[in-house]
Amino acid sequence: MNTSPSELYGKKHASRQSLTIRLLPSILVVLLSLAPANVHAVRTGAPAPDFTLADLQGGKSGLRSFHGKVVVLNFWSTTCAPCIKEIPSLNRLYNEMKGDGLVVLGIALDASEKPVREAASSLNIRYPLLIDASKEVYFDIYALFGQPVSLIIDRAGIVQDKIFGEVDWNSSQIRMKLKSYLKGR
Amino acid sequence: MRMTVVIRMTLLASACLLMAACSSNFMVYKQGRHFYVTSTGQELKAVLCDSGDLKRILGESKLNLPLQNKLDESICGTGKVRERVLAVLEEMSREERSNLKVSFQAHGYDINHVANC
Repeated sequence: MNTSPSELYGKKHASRQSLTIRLLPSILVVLLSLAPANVHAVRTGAPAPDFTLADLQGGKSGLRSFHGKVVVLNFWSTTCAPCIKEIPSLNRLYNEMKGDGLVVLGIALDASEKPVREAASSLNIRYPLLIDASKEVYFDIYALFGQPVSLIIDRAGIVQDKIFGEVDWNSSQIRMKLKSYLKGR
Repeated sequence: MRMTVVIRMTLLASACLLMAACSSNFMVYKQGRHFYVTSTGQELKAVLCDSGDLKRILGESKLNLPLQNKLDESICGTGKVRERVLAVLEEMSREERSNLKVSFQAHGYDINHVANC
């Protein structure tokens, strides 16, 4: 069977178009990973930059030590009313899911430890609290704005969600999301 | 046809991702009050721009001149766009953001501090 030049051109053209369509998702991934190369801020889909901060017990805690866990980083301060409002639900979530591999790190942006200790006591906060008084992690490294702001980091250390504002941590939507990350071993 | 749809969806997804990266706010705090730097209101303009504070802060920030101009234009320029202000801040390196923060603090401001309310 002979193929005419026009049929041959048509087949080649269709094949090239099909190849382009198949490659497009890969091209998109490469472009998206290159495009924000000049963005020096924490972003979803990228590894969470490591940091070490002082805790309320006089020790230090680093993000890297929680690798393999699902981590919620909650940036807050005692003068921020919405931050205080969401703490009870975050506390409850932590108590219920810590056994499954959930870590919550409350990163306080207050200039001193005293109000943070008082809030920890009055709100009965069970998860570890770290102090970022100089806002080095919050602003310099992560380039976050506003409060509260939370990041959900999966077991592979990738930022999956960046949540601005007050959250009901006991909502079914948040719970489903966290459970799916906890299952993703 | 199919190709066009895929390209359109790709562009839409990229735009959504870029917009999502900017959905927050930058504040400065001075004398018991906080101000949204992204605001187009008169109050922020009076405090940071008309007072000359931002020019002084940038001038002593150790940031390079083009970046100083970019920040000044995005915060105090005409046709201010919230996303533009945040994008400039996100494009800065860790060291540059640190220098900017320190300069704000040296001039009596704190950054992203919520006034007790």
